[in-house]
Amino acid sequence: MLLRLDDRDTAPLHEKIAAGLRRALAAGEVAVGERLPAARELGASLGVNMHTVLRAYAQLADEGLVAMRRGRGVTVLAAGPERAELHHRIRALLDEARRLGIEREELVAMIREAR
Amino acid sequence: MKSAVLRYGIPAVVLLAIVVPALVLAPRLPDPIAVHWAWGGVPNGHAPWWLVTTGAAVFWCVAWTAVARTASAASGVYGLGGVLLTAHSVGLWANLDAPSWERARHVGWALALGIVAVGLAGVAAGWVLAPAKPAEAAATGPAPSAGLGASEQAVWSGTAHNLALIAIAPLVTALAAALGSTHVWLAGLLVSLVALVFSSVRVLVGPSGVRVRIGVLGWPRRSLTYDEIAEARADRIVPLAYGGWGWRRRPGRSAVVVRAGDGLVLRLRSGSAFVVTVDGAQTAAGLVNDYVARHRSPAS
Repeated sequence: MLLRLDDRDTAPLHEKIAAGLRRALAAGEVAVGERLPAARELGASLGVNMHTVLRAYAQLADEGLVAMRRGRGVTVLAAGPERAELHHRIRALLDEARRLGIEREELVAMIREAR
Repeated sequence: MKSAVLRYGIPAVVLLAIVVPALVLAPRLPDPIAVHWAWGGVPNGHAPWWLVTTGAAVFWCVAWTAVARTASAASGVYGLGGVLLTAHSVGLWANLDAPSWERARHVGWALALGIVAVGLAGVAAGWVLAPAKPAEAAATGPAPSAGLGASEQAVWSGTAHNLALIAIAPLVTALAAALGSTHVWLAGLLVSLVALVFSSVRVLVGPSGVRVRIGVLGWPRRSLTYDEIAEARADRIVPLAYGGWGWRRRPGRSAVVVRAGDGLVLRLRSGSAFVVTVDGAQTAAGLVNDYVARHRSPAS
């Protein structure tokens, strides 16, 4: 799994890590059922705090991409890769709306009305 | 030219030396023939001759192909050829003109040691004819790259597992328990623990260096900084070329071998090498090279 982080991206670090993991998942770089590296290890390798990595993992767990279980580590769920792609697109959509000056609520309303 | 002779000539000669005598002598062999001898040298196992010869021939071809397919050719396979050839010839000799397999000639310690000696001579011949080329010496072409951008950080994470080693652990323990004695028990437990520890490995390549964590507990471990690394490549790893599975240390190189196949080969600036088997090693090698390049020119 290759996790890429853009230095020019000004988003919070845990967001950047989560986004990088989502991209890796969507690209099928981690097989379903496979374990992600331990937060401590990944943090040490990136030179960031382990809690920053844990926060990124928790976000992916909230999105239903991975399962976080005590003692079992973080494993990729069956729906992980496809949902990662969807979440990736949602963020791209948010960025695009922001660029066009469209408010978040307005975008949500647009999605609700879309057929 | 010389490599073609080694590559096709040697396996062909060994193969012919196994098959031809068996075909020629087949009419003078009992059916079945003796294939196993007890400690005292008395035959105690039998099989049809064609099965024995075919088995030896197929085993030889598989072993040779497995090694010849990679750059990490092992002299061990020469030794295997020697052992197969001598053991097969001794078997033919022992059965020749015997009325039945029970009355085959005795094969004692002297002959068994002789077979081992020929095997060792084969290994020695292998060292001379085709020095075991570890993967790090066989590198050709440009070093791989993962295309890391100047304003980008990346972490590569990969693992390698060996399910067979996981399966072996309980089997060894159970066998040791069945055999009884305390010493065997403890030895069995130790072997299965080692097998468990070396059944998996995780490799992380990040901005700070390469981290290798062995086993479920992440120990033993090894970390390398980009100051230490000269170049990285991916290669097919043959455990035999490194002396087997586990953490193999030899002068000039050390290797973490969990299974056969894809592996990351790091050539160090000290002149030695570090090798670890891991899935998707090509990307890992590329990222290591990108970081090494970035490290050499910190201005960018």
